[in-house]
Amino acid sequence: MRSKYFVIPNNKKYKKVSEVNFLFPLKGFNVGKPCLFTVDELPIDSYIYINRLLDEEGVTKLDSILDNNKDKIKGIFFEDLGVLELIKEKKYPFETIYYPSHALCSEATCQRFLKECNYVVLSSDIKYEDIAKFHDLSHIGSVIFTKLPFMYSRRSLVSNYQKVHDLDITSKLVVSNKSSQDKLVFDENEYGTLVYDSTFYDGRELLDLNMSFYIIDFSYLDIVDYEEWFNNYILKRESIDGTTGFLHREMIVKLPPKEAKR
Amino acid sequence: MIELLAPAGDLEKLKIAILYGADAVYLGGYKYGLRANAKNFTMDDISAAVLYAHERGKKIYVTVNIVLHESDIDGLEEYLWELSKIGVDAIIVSDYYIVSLVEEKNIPIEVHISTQASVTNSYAAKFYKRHGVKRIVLAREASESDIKSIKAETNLDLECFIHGAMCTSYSGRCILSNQLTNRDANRGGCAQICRWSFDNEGSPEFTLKSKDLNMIPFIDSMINIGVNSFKIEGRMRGIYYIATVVDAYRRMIDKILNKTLTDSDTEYYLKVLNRCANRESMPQFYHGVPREDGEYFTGVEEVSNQDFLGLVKDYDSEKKMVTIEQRNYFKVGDVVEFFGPLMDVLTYKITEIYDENGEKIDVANHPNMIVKLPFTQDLHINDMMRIKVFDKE
Repeated sequence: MRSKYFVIPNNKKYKKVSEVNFLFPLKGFNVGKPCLFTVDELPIDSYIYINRLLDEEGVTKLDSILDNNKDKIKGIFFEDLGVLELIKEKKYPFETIYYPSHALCSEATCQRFLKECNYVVLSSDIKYEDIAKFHDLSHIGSVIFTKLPFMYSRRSLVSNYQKVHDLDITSKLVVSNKSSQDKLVFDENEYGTLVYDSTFYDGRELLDLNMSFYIIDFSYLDIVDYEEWFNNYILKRESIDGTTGFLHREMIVKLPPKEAKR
Repeated sequence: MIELLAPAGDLEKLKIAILYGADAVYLGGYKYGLRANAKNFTMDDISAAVLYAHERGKKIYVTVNIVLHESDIDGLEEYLWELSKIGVDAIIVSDYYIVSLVEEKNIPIEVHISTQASVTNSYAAKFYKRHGVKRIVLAREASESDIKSIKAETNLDLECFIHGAMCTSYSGRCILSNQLTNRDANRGGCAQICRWSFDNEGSPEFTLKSKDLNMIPFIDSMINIGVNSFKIEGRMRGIYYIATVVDAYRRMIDKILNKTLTDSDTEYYLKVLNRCANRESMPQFYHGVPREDGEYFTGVEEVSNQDFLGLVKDYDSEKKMVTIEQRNYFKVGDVVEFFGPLMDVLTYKITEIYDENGEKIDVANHPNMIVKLPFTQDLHINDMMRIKVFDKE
């Protein structure tokens, strides 16, 4: 890895920032990412991002892309373990970075995966105090700025709703929970629907843990000056109107007896 | 090998599942399972389940399929050793740490990858195969052609869900419950947010509720493409549901294997299962991504099913009297039917009902009351009586 920071760009006219790598969501292999890149649009030695779960057709297409672009791709961040196995089986020379949305919540699991791939990205539903207790963060990264993903469905949830009720909606839909202030964004493309938070996630306190690398996701921002944003919010740590996600939230696993179903 | 795999929330349900034709049963222990708020099995219960199943040539699988957090690691290895020593046939896991732990420590227990891992392609399956996994429970999103390729490329045992409720999300890829209720979805606390409705300002409320899965029309096809284990969802379901669903699929599978299945059989079992469920069902992803017909968009259509009238507790073949434990209201004059694993469905018009004291009564209207009915044909303990709704053509 060349830098500690990976930025997911929000437009195709992104300008290089000295201290960061770019992480390019690959077109045809992502859900819920508004700015997607074809292989032709990638610079040499790019890191690409694949957040889709792949069917057989998808993995075959990916194989063809990887095979024809070995010199262009430096590393791959992926959700589907099939991508890792494909890279291993075909002996492709890419760095492998396992980036599951919800499956990496313990150091034990991270360390086991690090015997299989080069780096891992912690899932967002893990507590800060748990991460702080990790013995070795040398190959473990984390997202520190994004809109947290909450659900990934293969279904076309927005289109189906639109069709049934004869509504006019673009691919994105923002709905509200009836009993709280939570707003959820349903973002759909041909590969399914990603549901994510309507507010930004601010996990910059994880910078204090000196993890191996950090991901900054500009997908849902309007900004164009990355350098300025990086200076203000990463180097100077100016305040951001956002949430800390699950970093400090206590989760309930087992309900008190009277609430639990028998 | 073709296996019918049923759920069990407790020992009673496990016995019913095996009695009605399940080849294997999966269940959750008190730790590491995704139904933290269900009744679940103690170690003694699991031990008893294994003994009961093995005496009958059946298998027991235990779910150990949470996503692990730091606090879950202590005691995990001991738990796996204990399951192994008890004789559990396999564990169903999603967290890779458990896969690698079993491999590294040579814990003698078969590992099946849970549907929570969302395997939908052959490369993901090969990853697990490389680590000693014997079976993959495929994601419900895997299509017929995906399943066929995965089988051809891996020759792993493949297990597919064929019936029951399903997440709207890829299983394991959802933390809406964490966000909206603080209940950890991937550690057994899921609050089923995909059954909720949401406000969409000025428009009809937004829903994302999936209809249930029902693969009755495609069991033959699934056998032909190499699916080994046919899995029924529903560890929280009651004995009537378990018996009805297991019985229907057992008979379907046997008829397919004996090459005696008719269209009329398929239609009949489809009707039986549609009647038994409290939600609509369909084949979902088998032939592609379901469109709007795969979801609910209006009010909740879940209907409480009161077809289950009674459980056979005894049959006196000399007096020709059946003893029934009542489960729903019935009365003299009702047309009912008996079904069970050792018999074809028998239709019967209730002519007389006797209470426990031998007094004639007109109605059985108390839950769990014991009554006797005259009945001329042999019945067996744990046969069931239900409302007669339709005939097999």
